[in-house]
Amino acid sequence: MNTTRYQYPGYFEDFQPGIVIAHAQRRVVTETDNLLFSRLSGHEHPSLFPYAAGAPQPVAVLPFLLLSICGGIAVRATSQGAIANLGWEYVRFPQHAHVGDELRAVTSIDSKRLSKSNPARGVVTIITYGLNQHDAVVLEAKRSFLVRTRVPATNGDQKQ
Amino acid sequence: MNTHPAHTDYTYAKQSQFGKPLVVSPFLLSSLVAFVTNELRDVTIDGYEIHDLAFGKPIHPGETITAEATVEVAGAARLVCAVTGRKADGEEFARFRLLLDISAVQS
Repeated sequence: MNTTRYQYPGYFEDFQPGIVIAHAQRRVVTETDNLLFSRLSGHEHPSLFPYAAGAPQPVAVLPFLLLSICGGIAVRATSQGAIANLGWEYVRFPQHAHVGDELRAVTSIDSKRLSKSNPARGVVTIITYGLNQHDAVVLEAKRSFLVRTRVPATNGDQKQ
Repeated sequence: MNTHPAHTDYTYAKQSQFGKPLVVSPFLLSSLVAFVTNELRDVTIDGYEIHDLAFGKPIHPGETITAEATVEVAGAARLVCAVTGRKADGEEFARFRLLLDISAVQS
């Protein structure tokens, strides 16, 4: 995978579709992380808390914590200057991650377009992958967010 | 891990177009999914997938949220729901499709 040393993009013009960013930050998910996030966001389904005697260990991590951690790792290099998160086209969890796994994230800048209603804004779409310590993909999420253009366009052209 | 100031820097948030801090999106998503899956205690949930998630309105700390789900596919191994996130007054703030891999609880 072709990676590059990056400067944090702040404006629409800074995002280069095709660039792949290997985020340096890593994070080990602990039992406490998983229990707190699961309970705080209201999960009570018994599948998520297999603590009966004889239950297989280690416990699988709540998928939405993976999204929070790996998506969070990706923010500084991607949407740190964004105006708003617009949504996800998809969020997939190809494999379980388990408590004790060390997670990292890789982001591909997928595409960008100027806003149709406001030329001073643009929409950037990225795909963030979450990987465990064995480089298995545990998260794939395609996300769009709203950013400012550096120079408010008057003719709808991109300023490069 | 999210470092965007809209979620934690209240001075920044006050000066932003929203005027208040924003609840971080993965937390909202996790909460909305929990509202749905907490109703499904009779099955084991083996996998989750989200499609076409759009956030239409911001949610600020202190707001009450709830979810509404319409079952679209109910198979023995797969459940698909259209989920709408609503504020206390009923206003929609998010919608997405939730795909669950399920199996019967092993007794």
